[in-house]
Amino acid sequence: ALIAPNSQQIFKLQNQVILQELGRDSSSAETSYTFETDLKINSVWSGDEDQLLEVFISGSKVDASGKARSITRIPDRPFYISLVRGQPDKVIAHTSKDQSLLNLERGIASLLQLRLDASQEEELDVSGLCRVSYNVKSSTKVEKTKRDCSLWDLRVNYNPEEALGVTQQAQETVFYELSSEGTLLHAESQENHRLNLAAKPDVGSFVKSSLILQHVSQGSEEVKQLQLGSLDKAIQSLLEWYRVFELESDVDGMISAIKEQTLEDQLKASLTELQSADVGKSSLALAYVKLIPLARITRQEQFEDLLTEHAEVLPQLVDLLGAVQTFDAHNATFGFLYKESETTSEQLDLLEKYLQSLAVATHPDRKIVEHLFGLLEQESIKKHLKLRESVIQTVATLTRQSGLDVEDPLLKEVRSYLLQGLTSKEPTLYIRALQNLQDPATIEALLEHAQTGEAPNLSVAALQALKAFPLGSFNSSHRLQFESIFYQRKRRFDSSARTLALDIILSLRPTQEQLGNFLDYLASNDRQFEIKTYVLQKLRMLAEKCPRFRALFKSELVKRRHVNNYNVLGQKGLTTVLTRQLSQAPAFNETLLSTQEVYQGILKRGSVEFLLHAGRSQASSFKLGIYTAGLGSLVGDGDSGDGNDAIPADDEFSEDEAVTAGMEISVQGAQLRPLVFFSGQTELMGHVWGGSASDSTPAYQATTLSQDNEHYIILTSGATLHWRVLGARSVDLNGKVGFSLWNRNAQTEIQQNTGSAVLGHLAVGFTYAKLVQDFSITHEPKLSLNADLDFYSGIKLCMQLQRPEQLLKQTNVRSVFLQSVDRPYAKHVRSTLSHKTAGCTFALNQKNNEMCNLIFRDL
Amino acid sequence: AEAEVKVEEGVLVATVDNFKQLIADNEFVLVEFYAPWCGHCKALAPEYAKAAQQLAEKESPIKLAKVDATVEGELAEQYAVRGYPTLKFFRSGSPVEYSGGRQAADIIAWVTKKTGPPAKDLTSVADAEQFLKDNEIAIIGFFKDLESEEAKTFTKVANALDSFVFGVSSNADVIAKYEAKDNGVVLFKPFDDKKSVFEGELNEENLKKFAQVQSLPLIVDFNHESASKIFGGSIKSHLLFFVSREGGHIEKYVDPLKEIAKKYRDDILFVTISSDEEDHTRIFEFFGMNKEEVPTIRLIKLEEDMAKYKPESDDLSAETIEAFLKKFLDGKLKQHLLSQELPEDWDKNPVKVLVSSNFESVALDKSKSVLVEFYAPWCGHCKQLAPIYDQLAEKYKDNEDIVIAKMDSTANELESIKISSFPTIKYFRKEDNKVIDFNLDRTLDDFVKFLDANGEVADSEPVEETEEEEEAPKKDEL
Repeated sequence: ALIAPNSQQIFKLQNQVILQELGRDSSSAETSYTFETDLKINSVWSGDEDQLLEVFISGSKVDASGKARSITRIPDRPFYISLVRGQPDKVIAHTSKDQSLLNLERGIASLLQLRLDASQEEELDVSGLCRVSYNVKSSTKVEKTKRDCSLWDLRVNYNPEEALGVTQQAQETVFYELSSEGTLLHAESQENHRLNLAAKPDVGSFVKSSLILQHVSQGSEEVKQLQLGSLDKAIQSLLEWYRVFELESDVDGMISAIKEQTLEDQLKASLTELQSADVGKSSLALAYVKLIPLARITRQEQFEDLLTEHAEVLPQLVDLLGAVQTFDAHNATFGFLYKESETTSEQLDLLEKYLQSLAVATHPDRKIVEHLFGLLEQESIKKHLKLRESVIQTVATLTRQSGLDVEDPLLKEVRSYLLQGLTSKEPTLYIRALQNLQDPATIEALLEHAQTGEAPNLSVAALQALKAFPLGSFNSSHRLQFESIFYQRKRRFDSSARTLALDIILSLRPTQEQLGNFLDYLASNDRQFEIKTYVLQKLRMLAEKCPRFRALFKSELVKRRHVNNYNVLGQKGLTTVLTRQLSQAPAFNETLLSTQEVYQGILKRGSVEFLLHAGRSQASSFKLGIYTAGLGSLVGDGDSGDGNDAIPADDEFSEDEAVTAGMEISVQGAQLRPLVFFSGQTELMGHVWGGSASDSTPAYQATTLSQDNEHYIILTSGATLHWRVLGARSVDLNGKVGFSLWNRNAQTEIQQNTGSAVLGHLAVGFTYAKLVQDFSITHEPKLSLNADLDFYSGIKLCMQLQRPEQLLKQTNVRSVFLQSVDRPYAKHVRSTLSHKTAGCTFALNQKNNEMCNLIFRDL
Repeated sequence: AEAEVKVEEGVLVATVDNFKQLIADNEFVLVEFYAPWCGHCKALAPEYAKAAQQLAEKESPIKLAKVDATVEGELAEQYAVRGYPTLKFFRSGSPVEYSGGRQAADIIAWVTKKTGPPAKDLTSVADAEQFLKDNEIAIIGFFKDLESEEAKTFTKVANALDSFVFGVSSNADVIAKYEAKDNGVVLFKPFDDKKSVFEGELNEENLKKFAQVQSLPLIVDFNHESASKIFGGSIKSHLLFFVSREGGHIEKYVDPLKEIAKKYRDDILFVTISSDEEDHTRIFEFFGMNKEEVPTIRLIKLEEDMAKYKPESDDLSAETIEAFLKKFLDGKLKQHLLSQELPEDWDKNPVKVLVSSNFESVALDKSKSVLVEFYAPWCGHCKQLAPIYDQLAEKYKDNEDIVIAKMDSTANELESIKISSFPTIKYFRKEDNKVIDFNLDRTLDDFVKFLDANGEVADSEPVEETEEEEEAPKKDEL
């Protein structure tokens, strides 16, 4: 036995917790606390291998930065540890309200768990169920390693997008020294936890905790034994004043309590940053993330009061309420804004804004989804077509985010509703919703629409939806169907449908043979030279990124003399596919993926997507797409004349295609309702002569959550660690299109202003001492895209993608508190770091360079 | 029940229902997979029908069929159709890709060759003359003994080269008529010398090359029809003449080079590319050229890196071009990269102007450290930087160790440096030629700091740290 039967042993217990900031050198000031106490352990019952220990705590103190404080409030009642076959089993403690103290008692008990026979691979202790391994060095020296403890990752919220998540690494080793009789002389636990942002691994915290139990002496008092026949009866005799607890700890809620602050107070303090003019700034994003934890514990009535009281910041408030994701916030928003048939257009706009924010949710309350889905059945909403469309998209997105079980009736209902919508008058709307739902059970229906849809835009929408699915959703039959679309085996397809099918095939890691087929395609008769250009640029881009693919690409190319020549590789399309690094360490690792698909000289479908990278994973933070259709008749550079007049042109595909243009936006993978700039020739001509399309149009102004993670960790000492990371992006996107038939030119300009903020808060400790780290990262990435098209003589298209100077600012405050003691003490260590990135214009490709030189020759 | 097979203009109409039976009933079927909207299919249709009818007139066992892939999608999928038109030749139900031309005569020649002996036996002078009349380009082997080793080698090559028509004769009259020697091979053609006689050791490799080289004109005009022959052969080095046919460049510059073309034909293919064709603009672009530069030449090696070469002068005389080719074959030519003309005053100003041709001698000069700005003339950030950069160059103009330079990246290409954004600023350090990216603020002060530190400047900002304490006051003793 670690404690000799009938004996009294004196121990000293010491727990030191150190909090360090990642990315900093060791010269930085330390923040740590040490807790020390004396333990008097009496063995008050024993029989066979079972034992009951009585433990008194006395002489407790906490120390930080050389300031020592006695703890006078720990009661002098003992607690008890029951040992079954020599191993701690239960803690019998007084029914106190101090969760910290109870956890500490569990930690002490856990240190007594030691198996010399190394007979188990799992142990249950203060940190939950852990995998353990023993290194028995001698009869008096033993080392135990713990891994994968269940209480080392207690998640409250987490973002399933890996790149928007947090990374945790934990490790613990316990070293034991025993006497020759097998009694405990020394037990020491060393525990490390590393917590960082997945997207920025040098930001976060490193927490070290050591718990040492040192034998001091044999006690001098006689230990009175409980005269009972069994351990159970001995425990039973204590229950008048005591309760039995498991070794496994519970979270100490005190560590994460929000101190005497209300949403109302914080909102008033933030009003200057929450104005509409601040959308797109990091200051607004920062104010937003500060409000969210308070908003999540706010009741519906309080929300309603705030909505009434702060009318001037309503657009920003509804964004906030969407990020809250509670049913209270939802009810307050709909109660305040939705008046069924009587809803005004301003109220409808705000509701759509709320839904767009909600669509980025990571853990929506189920009742929200049920309410929104039920709303679709009501007659009153059918009067508000745009709102209804946004509700459909949001229901689909939230259903996916909820992670419902395959058999969940709500998932089945939503799926069924959306599939039925495919046969309605507006199938595109439901296709987009299936893109948001991403349910593998709907793949067949989408493929059916991709291949049999009468209108080109149906195929395109269906393939765009399929492209959003996780890659694991597709099987070999699906792959064949994508190939059938790309190669037009069964029928003719819109060029965008074909490029989307290609993207999916390429993301499914094509085989050597399949890659060879794509290269052979480049030498085929296909008159769609823009698609060939797309294929070639896509393959080259992948080759740039992936060395293995590059080697395969080159070897297949060299084998093909009919492809590897200036006739085939000299494609004449204007289509562009490229990726560029927007920022990298020490800023975030962010890239831009630009696809500009040209058809008959016109930008038919262009997209700019922002991807945040973390290791091998990436998350799409924002994607902007511009589409046009039917404009070829105005510009008139068909692809029929490919230099061989003896060969007739391909028939016109979908000659009656409506003249239309618009913008599609997806935020963190959630596709929003598209904006239509104009539809129909009449409306286009109205814009052309009236010049109204030339004004800058706000396309998207909103603030949404990005990082949303909250975790607890229980340390071996019983201390609780709370770790919360919230991020937000405030985006102000506007665009304009200028079109002049007289001068035969056109300009497109897109401006995106983004303010991003990440706020991290970590607290670790117990009732009498606490370490806190608060960090913030603010960043304002901006981007502008200008496209100048000149069709006065031939087609010249110059695209300029520019990134202005950017500043990333990082602040850190680490604090140590001695609290609930005489003369509380606090120390704060503050640091700031900033990193500036100079502005640049991205090089696209040589053809674009030359076209820009031509268009801007006079500048 | 066997589905009915319709016939349109002599062509069998194949469907999902009748296809299996059709290729079972006929030993030889050429099948065209087409789409009604496809322009190339429309161009092929009359020639295909013509070929079908001519074969029928000869009571040939070879049938021509067509499949509308947009209706018979299953067939298109089953045979992995990847473009239109796709022609596949079914021999006893087993398909091979059609690799011939698109004219009726090409089709007939190809399928006839595929179904008959690889080389037609010419038993009389009349046979031979008809053979040459039927085929524009024909290769005839003259062997007294058709069982000889040489004759068998010839037959193997005839089997391997689908796009050529081969004849063979052991008839003494035929051999005499064409003044051939025993075991001789002659290629007959309607251009250049009209006849090429094979020389050298008669083996498969040499014979294949002979066929490929001699079947092309000395100087071949690039177009859709000739492209497959230009790239299908084994010669990977092409001398390209960029000319305007309408401008009379063929007669003036190209024709005088036929002697050189003949001399180098085993190593270099001479190709003309006309700037009068709109479609050829893309090939000009591929070579970084525009149509105003004609007449001019470029050399390209069609290998992994597609290396391109440009002559130093504009002189297109036979002597100059021959010297250029000789240098290339000796491996002494430097790869051509997109480059501006080097301005005469490139080093007259504080900021030196670099182009592809002088980049290496300036930037990689080990006796100097060189800061290079890679820019685009229309880039806003580059314009913003220009006055600061000028100031910087002014400051260091008398410094013998440091050079401040710039290069227009839209007009100059470098082998080892790829620019992905403008401006990109790189420091080429003297002695070790280490390349360091400039990532500081683009201010005069930061540039000076960077240069004075020889490029070794940490780009992270210093971290400021402050510390503060709060402590309740000690209670006064009562």
